[in-house]
Amino acid sequence: MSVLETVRKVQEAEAEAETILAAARVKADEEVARSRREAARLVEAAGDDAREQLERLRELSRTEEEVSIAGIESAARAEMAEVRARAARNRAAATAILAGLAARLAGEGG
Amino acid sequence: MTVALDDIVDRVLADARAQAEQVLADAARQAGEILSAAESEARARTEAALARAAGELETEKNNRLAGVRLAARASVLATRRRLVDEIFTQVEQDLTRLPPEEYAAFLAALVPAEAARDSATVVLGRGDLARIGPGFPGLVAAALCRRRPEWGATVSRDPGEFLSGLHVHTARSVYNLALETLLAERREQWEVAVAGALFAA
Repeated sequence: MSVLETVRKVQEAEAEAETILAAARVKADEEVARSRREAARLVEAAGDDAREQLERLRELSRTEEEVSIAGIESAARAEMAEVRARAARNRAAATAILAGLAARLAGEGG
Repeated sequence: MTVALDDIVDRVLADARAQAEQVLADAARQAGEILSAAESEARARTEAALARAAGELETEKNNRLAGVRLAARASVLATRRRLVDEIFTQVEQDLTRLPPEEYAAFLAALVPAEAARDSATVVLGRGDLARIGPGFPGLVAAALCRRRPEWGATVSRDPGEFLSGLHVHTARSVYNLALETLLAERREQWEVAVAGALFAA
């Protein structure tokens, strides 16, 4: 084999090596670019997921609040009913006490 | 010579393939790190947003519930107050519905000793005069005379600007003995006892 032939063969091998490396670099760049797109999609999807979870959280909070309000109002109604019932039972006694106090006003006149 | 050249060519290509594999491996690692970082960031953002929102929702809910509790308490207290008011109104009405002579005696007994030291004019409530009639000043004058024979008070036939009870006008002062005033003045002092009795278990 001539020297020229040898040089040509080596140059061909180096060219093929460059091609292999270039292809690998292109593939690597594509892989990194794909991962960046996937990362952006993940972050965006997380935002959507957070919005959905937030909506569920709001709904849950609203439900809890409605239950709490119903409980508070129900307890107040029950307390008012109890207050009225006691007042109905004790009205005569309370009136007598106040009438007695009022009658003592006359005593204060001296 | 040919064998040596083939070795060189194989070596060049093998090196290139090894480098290519390394480039691809580095890219795969970098891609993995990018995805892992993105997942962490997404998770952290979601958790932070949810934690912030949960805190805000809890605060808003607690504020609204505090308002509801306050309103409920106010309703109960208003109910209690209205029921106590009814007792005060009832007793005021009961007093004014006493038989006229008895009511006149009650009013005469309200007049304090110091008011009876001077000559005075007694003014009666317009509600009492309207309800009992023109004879009422005479009944009150007689009751005052029985209670304090030495006192030369005059009972006016003109009604005062109050409903029931009386005002005593002396040279030095005016004694406001209107029932609504007397009851209102003592309301705070008496309503503890009245409410205690009214709402007893």
